[in-house]
Amino acid sequence: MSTCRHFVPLLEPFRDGELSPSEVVDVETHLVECERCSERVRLAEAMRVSLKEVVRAGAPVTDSFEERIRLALSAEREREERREPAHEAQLRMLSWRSIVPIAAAAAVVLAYAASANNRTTDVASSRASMYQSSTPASVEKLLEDLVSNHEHSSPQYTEQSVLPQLESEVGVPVKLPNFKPFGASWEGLSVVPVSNQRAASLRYRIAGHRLTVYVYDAARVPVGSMLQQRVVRDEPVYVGSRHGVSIAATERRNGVGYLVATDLNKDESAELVASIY
Amino acid sequence: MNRPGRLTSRVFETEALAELPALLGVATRLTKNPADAQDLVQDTLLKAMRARDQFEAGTNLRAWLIRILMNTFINRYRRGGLERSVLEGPDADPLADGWISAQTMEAMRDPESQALRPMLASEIGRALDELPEDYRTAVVLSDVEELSYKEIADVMGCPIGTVMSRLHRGRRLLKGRLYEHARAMGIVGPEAQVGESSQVEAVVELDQYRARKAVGS
Repeated sequence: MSTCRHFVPLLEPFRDGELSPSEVVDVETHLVECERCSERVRLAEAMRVSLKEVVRAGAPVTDSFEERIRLALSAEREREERREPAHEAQLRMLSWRSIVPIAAAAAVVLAYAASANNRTTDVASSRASMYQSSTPASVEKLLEDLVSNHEHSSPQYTEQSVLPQLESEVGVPVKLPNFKPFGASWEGLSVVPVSNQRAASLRYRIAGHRLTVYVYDAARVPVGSMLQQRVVRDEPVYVGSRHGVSIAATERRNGVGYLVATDLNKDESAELVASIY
Repeated sequence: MNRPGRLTSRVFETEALAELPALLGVATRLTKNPADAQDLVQDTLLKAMRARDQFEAGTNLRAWLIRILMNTFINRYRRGGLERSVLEGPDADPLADGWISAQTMEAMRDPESQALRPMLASEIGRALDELPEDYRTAVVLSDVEELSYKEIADVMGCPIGTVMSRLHRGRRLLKGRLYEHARAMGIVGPEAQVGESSQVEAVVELDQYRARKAVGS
């Protein structure tokens, strides 16, 4: 018993991983010899297991709670970015500061861009200088331009065979989404120029509604910061609307971003973009 | 200006979200109310996001978040500060496990689940909630969230010796409560007082043990 007297004070720090290696050896040696102290340790372990179970089960993190926290944090991040637009946000934005307005877009077709004509670059860079910082205003402008492009432009190519060329323009893999389950029909594709890179624009029609899918390098397009986050099919999706056009954006693990613009409602747009993989 | 090594807001968000179960678990045990617990966790994470420059990279994010959670709880949900629910000092509780036999302790465990017998496990939540707040917090932070004594001391704003004392007393109260319940349920029989006195349990300061050992050796 006198040995137990010696070791009992060590049993809790032993289980809690707070003893020095030599003390651990002392305790383990005693435990081999002493059934009672071994049982003390085992009962304490059993209590720990049960405590963990009861505390976790008593406070389950529900999907709605997790989403609430995500929304609160992303709203806080937006506030922060508005206060401090210079550094963190700018790193993420890199060169995609705004898409070039439609007048310039009309001039940039695939073949034209491939010819590396300097005029295009000049137009693009002069326009881009208007959006040098990655402020919410510039992201907002980018969204407005995407919506405007969706509403007013027509596809430049109807053949899907130009896709491989388009990938080299955009810099990310461009796979056609499978919208057949939604009854979508294919209309064509374009390259949408941006300050010094590009996005693919895929055009469909669903039950008479126009649908544009933009495909881009997600690391350079922080559209999420100006949209509302929600979870669709277990994936985060950013939704919003501008001028009656609903927008839903998502990012896949390979870094490819997708943004859907439609005159369907936001839920339908979110569902469409979440279906892309 | 951003400091070197500063967590970006997105990285922070991802890592903090992974700690939601731990934060909500602690918050629920503190507030004893699911809605208050959720509000507390949200307030905590927003504060932490704003203060993330103060987080030292490479240290335990969970411990840091729980420290903010505790401070938020004390300041906002318990105006007037944390009253000492139990006086520190000599332990007045006569119940010690010195007189619980190995056989009885074994009977309280479920050998298959590695946890308590199911009938006792159902009691442990209630027993936990009835612990004095300081004891309950220490036990949850150690046994459930696996924080070190040092981290718990930082979270609770007290010396490590006090953490050990709270843990020891909290666990012993839990064990005593479960033993009583086990007897009432007929899981174990009455226990004859054997050998050791409760004095055996009174020594909880590791420093004292180490000092004694150093003198003796």
